[in-house]
Amino acid sequence: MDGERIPGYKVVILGDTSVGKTSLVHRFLKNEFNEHTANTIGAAFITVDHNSNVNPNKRVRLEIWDTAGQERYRSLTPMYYRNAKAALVCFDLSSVDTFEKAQYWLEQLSLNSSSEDTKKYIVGTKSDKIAEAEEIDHVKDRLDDTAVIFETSAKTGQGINQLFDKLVDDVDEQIFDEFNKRCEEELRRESENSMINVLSKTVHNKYSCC
Amino acid sequence: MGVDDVNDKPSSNEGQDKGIGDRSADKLNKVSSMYLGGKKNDMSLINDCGLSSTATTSVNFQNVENHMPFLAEGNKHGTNGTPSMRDLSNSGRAGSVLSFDLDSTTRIPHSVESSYYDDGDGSNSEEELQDLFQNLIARGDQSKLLKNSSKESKGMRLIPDISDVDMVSYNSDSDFIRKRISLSKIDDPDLFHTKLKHFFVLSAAGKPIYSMNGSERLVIGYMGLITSIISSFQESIDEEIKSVTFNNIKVVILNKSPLFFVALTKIKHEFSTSEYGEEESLLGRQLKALYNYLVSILSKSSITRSFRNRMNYDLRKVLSPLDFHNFDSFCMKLTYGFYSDEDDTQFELDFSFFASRLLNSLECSRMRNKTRTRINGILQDSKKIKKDIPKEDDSSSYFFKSETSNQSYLAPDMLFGFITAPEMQIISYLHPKNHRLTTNDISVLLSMITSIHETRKSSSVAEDSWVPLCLPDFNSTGFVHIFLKVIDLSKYVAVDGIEIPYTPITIALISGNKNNFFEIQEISKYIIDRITGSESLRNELANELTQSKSLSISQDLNIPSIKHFMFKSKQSNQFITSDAKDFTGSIDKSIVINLVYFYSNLYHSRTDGKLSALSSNRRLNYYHWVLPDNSVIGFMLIHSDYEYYCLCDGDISSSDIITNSLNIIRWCQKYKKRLFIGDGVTFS
Repeated sequence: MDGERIPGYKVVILGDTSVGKTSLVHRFLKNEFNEHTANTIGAAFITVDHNSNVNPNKRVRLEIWDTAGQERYRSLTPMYYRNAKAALVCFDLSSVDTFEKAQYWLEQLSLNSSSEDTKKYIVGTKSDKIAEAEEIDHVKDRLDDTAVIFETSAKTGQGINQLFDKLVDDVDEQIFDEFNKRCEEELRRESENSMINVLSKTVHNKYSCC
Repeated sequence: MGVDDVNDKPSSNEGQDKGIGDRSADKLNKVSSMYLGGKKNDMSLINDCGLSSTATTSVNFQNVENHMPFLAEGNKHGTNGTPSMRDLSNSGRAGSVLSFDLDSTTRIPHSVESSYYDDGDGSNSEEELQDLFQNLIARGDQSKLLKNSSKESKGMRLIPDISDVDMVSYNSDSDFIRKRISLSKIDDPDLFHTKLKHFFVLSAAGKPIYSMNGSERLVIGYMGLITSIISSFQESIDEEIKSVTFNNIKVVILNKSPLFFVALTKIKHEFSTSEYGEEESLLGRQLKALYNYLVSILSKSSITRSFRNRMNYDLRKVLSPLDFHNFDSFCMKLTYGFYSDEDDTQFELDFSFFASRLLNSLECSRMRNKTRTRINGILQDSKKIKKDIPKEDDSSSYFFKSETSNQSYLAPDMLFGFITAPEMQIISYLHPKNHRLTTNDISVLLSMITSIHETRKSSSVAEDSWVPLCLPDFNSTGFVHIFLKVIDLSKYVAVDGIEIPYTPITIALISGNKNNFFEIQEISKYIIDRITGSESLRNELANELTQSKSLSISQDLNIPSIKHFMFKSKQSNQFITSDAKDFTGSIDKSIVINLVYFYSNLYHSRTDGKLSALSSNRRLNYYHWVLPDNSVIGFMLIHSDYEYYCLCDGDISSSDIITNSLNIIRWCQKYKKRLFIGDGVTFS
């Protein structure tokens, strides 16, 4: 995994319990779907390299935090969206009450100054059993005009790849620039280090112990 | 069922028990001095006592201070005297297969339980044991002659002494299981009343939080009744656990205000009370397990906080479907040794889980010491990993990296580490030198690991979990964070081309700091690299784990006659059991229920007393069940170092039982480094 040098991109997935956050991730990663996906305990961390179909050279290592939706984990969630580059805020299209919780996370993201830079994606899940069109319109009314709702279904796969492609398309060029700069810096230091190591006659192993 | 029977007179066993204790103390001294005087001659005494004995010979010696060896006897008060606790429960079997009829003139029990206490020199002199055991068996021999000819209900074979007055018959075992045992959450009062076992979790305000059976509507109807039972106890507020036995029902209530945990059973072997009080009884421990689970996911302080402002707070809203599933699974496995969902589409036999709670100890993976040592070493090394990235601005310190202090450890907050196999078996355990987790806490942790493992089964996504968990004994007010990763050894590329089967192992690293995920992840990568990087280790481990899945007495130990055994090392508080499928050649729900029944009876036939580590006392117990189509002998040997329990066919000779049992015990002791992880490995 360490062979290829591509920048990491932290993504957090938020939303009410049982809206299908884990199913969304599993469909994206493995193209698999299980009706009986169990509740996530705590949070799950998954990394995957992904490039946009639009621009194959734009490739990032997605570091996805799949969080638990339960109430009792709410106080821990800030630790996952802190410093996140993108947040997928999910609600269930077949049960639009879950939008309340999505709204809550959107507000929390806006309030939190450190997450100002977090790109927010509003994801409607379970589009295969969508509720009344009126209700969806109702939800849209509550968002500002620029907001887009990605309609997805982990069951059918609808909209999932498009969502993650968009995610990578949106990655700021700045991130690549900074990453490249850091790589060069590291290379430079490494060559210095090897000099130092020779001098101090200690071979510094990554896992050295005293 | 008889929740309605609640107004019946409660039996007060406590007073009677005490009386027996007093008289027994005298008897104990008398008998022990005689026994110490001349071993051989006193065998006749044992015989005298034994041959005329009725059902029970176990006596509670709670108020005996010195642990003099004694010969637990039964004839005197078994027939004429006040019945002991166990007498009562035995007599309650009158309607069941294993009953004996107190009014009949024969006075011959169908089930005979005998016990013997011995102060031997600690070594298992086979001859001596043979002698003792012969005498014990002599009391039970006649029971074989009396097979109950009355019409048997099919289901009675599974749990022979259910306390129902009117036991209707069932078509088959599975019919019995479905009606009386399986979970049912439907709104059917008759079915609800038919169930043999109930668990309830409710708030002090009487709000139901969990019920093993019945619909919500049905359960709410009983909350009033349960709260009134509870309130009648609350005068003695300092008591945490209370039990009451009605004619055929035992109710135990664990008071963890603002929550109450209630168990209600009609299964006679669950009626027994431990000599350490109700906390250590079967039901008491079951309730404690449910309580511990709830604390582990919510923490004690957050439960208290939730109810502080609002007594009618609904705790259910912070629980997930997975939590309720786990409750169901615990309730079933703790009572019957298996779990199946309501429509029986999937079920899981888990006798080990039951055994671990019965013996209150942990199960380890069987493994050669060499392999275990290698894994232990990796876990120990992982704790010593140093921080890799030097600060850019202090390149000067770079020269002295090797001399820097502990501060540079990658994860100073890592407290404990576990490597486990999916069946809750511990492969390796790392802990600080001056601190170890209690058996309770490790059980809680292993349950969580299993739970995560279950949820992963259906998915091929490799993810790292970061899970807050409250370890009730370690710190009931806060959370530690657990890094969890399941890897499949077969997935790692083998250059040598040796294919190995699917072999998942779990790496669980416990951190005191919730922000430490990436450091702990780094450590896990190191551990995984080391385990899978070495071809020989990977193959060796996979091989050991495959073999460890089963332990056949006939094949692995090459010992005939004994059908099933459990061996617990007291020092490490760890146990092993042989394959449940060896018991009858196959394994299904009925057989697990059988095992649970036999071992529960056998276990509770011990009146252990306080076997101190210094004493070399050991104790024999023997149980003989005559079932409609066969008979089974249970044998137990408790030593200051170990506890041994086994089951075998009823027609085996007593000398065979002793000889083979001693061979098994010797085998367990010889290979204890393979069977148990002992104290684990430490860091300072």
